[in-house]
Amino acid sequence: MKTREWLSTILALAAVIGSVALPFWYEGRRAASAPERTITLTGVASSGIWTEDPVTGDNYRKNSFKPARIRLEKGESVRLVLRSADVTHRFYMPELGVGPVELVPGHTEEVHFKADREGVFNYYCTEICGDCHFHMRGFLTVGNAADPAAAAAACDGTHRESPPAFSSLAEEGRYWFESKGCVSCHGAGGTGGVPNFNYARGTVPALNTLASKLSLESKSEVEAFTQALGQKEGLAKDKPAPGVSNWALSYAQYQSVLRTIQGGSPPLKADPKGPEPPLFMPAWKEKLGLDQINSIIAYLVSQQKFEEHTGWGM
Amino acid sequence: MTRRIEELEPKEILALAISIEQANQKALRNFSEMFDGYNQEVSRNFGEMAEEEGRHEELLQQMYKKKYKGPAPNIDSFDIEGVVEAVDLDDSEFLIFDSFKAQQVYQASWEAERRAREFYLKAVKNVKDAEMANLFNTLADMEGDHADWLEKKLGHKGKKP
Amino acid sequence: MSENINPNPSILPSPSATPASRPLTGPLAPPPPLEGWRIDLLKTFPWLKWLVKRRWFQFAVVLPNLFLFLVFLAAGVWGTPVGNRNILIVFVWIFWWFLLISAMVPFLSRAWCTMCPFPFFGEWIQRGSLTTPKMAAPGAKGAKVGINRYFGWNLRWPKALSNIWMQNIGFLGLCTFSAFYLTRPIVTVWVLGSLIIIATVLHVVFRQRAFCNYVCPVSGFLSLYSMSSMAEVRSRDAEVCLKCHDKSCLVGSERGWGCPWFNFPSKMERNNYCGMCMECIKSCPHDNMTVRLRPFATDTKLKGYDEAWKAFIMLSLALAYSVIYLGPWGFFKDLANFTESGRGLSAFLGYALCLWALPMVVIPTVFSAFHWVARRLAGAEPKPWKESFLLMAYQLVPLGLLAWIAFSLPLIFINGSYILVTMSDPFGWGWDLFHTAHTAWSPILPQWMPAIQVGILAIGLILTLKSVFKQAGKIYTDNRARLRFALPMALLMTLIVSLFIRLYVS
Repeated sequence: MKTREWLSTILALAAVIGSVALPFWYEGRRAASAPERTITLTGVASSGIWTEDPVTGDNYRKNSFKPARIRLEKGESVRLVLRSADVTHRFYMPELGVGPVELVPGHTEEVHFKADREGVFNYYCTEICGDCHFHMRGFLTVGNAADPAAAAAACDGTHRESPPAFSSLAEEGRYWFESKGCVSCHGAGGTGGVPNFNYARGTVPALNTLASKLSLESKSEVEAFTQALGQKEGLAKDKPAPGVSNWALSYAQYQSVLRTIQGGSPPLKADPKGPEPPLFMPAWKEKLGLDQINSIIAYLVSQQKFEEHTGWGM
Repeated sequence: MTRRIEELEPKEILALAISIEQANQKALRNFSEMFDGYNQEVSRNFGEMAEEEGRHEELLQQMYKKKYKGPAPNIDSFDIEGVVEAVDLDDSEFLIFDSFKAQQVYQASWEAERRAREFYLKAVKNVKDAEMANLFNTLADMEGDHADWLEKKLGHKGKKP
Repeated sequence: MSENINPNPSILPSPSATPASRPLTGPLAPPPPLEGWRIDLLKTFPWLKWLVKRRWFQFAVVLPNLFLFLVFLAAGVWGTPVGNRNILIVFVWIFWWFLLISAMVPFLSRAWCTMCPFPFFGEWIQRGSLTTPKMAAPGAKGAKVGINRYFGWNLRWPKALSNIWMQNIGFLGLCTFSAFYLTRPIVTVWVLGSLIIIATVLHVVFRQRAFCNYVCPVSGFLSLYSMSSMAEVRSRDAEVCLKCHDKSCLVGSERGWGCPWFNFPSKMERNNYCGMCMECIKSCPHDNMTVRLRPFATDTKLKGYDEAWKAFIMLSLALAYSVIYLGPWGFFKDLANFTESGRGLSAFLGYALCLWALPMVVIPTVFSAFHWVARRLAGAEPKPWKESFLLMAYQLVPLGLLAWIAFSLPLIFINGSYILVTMSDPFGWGWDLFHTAHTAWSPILPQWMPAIQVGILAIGLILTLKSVFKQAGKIYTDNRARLRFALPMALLMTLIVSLFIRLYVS
């Protein structure tokens, strides 16, 4: 009788400990048995990031994941384990020939690649996955290549709250530019430079020279234009803003910019036979009102530094 | 192999009666223990009845000692057809899930005593031996005493069913 | 249950009558003959008898269940946050629920309670042992209950709470928030984890399975629907129990613990509060306790308004869930899951109010109205309101069970592939234990589903109508009155079933 009781006690304790230990042991053994280095990336739509942190039922709501920072040796083979924590994402790392891989929530996908050249390689989510989709971009570094400048801040969810009060139109524009994710491709302050694989221009265009494009030649012209933008009725062709020297041209250019923002624009391929560039200008018509778009334009024209003149184009 | 009560010797019947009283004490104490701490009143009532059975057992033991000398052998009532006295609770699920009244304990045991009395009276009619008939009558009277005792208890409760 | 209902109020004779002159009709009278057939499973299958008589039997069925349950909880904490890819959500709320309602309850009564892991730790502490019953030797540590020895405080459960109202409220409460834990594994972990903790604490503080009998929200509906089950634990021969002086099934023995569910197994006549732990089968010195197979819906007596309300609650929830999860109105689903759908808190409160009002007020009111009309129509010599009310409320038990089965079938037929996926990849970590991790989602027989559901409901209706007319005979002996009483109730049952059919077919 004593033996049975002892045996039962040991079994009960084993069940309790084993229930937690066994899954982790099995997972550890699986990772250890892979001949390559295992990297796990989880796409989190609500934060707009790819993270190496484990995303679990416990921490998902707390939203405190760090974006992945991966550095590989040249020639290293990698087993890349890809997961989605919430909605469908599509992982794409074109320069190393990975993907696009569709990631169904809760499923795990595995891909293998070899880091056969040095450099910084971007990866993207190419499935519109929510308000933070445009933030969902990361990079990995191979060999001794330097890390690129810090990427735009991860989507922090502030856009879900009601926006704060703004002291100027440009300030409001900055809020939308950053919270809606424009910043993630067009760079902080619209400085551009985010690489876009197989895109004719190589990198996503900068927007901080928008003022010149709108033929606003001085700080005071920018201010006059901004004031007109901020009026209740917006801009009208037959109501030139006082202080804008070439109103007809400025207005026509404004209309063209507006069309691009509202309707989107497909990226021009560098190699016509190559794959679609992962990044493209989406249509914002449904997501941003005219007032919000005007505020973003006001922000972007305020970023112009008038001593330098570089071209701008989509 | 079970035997009928009519097949027993008077000595065996007396011993059987003692066994039944002992067993009933055990059953009542079991109930009392079960309800101890759960329902004090019910537990106390079962305890009292066990004591009452104990007094009757003592009387029977004295009679056995006087008539046959020595301690009575233990006879298992399972070996004898139709012998029943153990108190049975009507519906214990109720007893736990609803309010169980002390009175119900008395009612149940009152019926048990009554059934035992019927049994002994029936046995009297079935035997020819005078000594045995006398014994059955005595036992029936004793069961009647139990029933009276319980009736008094039921009366104390005021409410008659 | 504040009132004391005597099931046989007129049977006890006045003590002043001459005892010997009256026939026995009370507790010692032979039990009424059983309705329907019975198969003594322990006689038919000697291996089963051998198995359930083992002291380690219950431990052996709880242990694997406990292990899996804890693995599922671990998956809820560390696994994927995606509900339908996390084994915790898929197995607990889809697979377990389906098994429970469609297989265990109808065929095995409360066999779930035999293997339930919730009270495992509590009972372990309380008994101070996993397999061996402890006897209360004089001077031994621990409290004496019956003739067994227990640890902890062993307090008596408050009489005012000795009913299933707490379970009614708890179940409704859980159901109000169902959309949260059905989609978020971590919330399910919190819910199930707190149940284990509450169970453990209550086992330490109170006597035996007070948690299971009075608190556990799952137990409440198991107790109600087990009445319809085809399995029962009963005594074989009432005479043997009557002669038995040990009453071990109640007070315990060295072979088995006294009934942890506060039953007196030898006198059990309903399944409701029997957790099928098999202790009485082990402790009985006369081998007089057994497990039997019997016809569907054999227990027919509700014993209080708490049980009647449980029937209302279960029926209402089957109705409400059919509207929320199977109905074509996404609006209701959004209300239930207000944090994700972005609807305000007030929308959710409105939803919660509806969910509570339906079983607590609306359905009982409609039911009472029909019952009142039925009594008026029948006319003469009515039995007390409560008696006929409970008898008719019972009719909702088999009906509700079949409605739940009809509701749960699509859950499993449509989401069955998730079971295969999560079985192989419980944490969503990319495992493929059984090579089913990549099973594509494919509903089984979706085109047949409404027909199957209607079939089940039709069986439920036929059974219920038959039973309504039969049970009406227990209230009115006169055939005309009986018919007049039964008709409105039959109409109500038909209306309820039509409502379900409309929901499933449209």
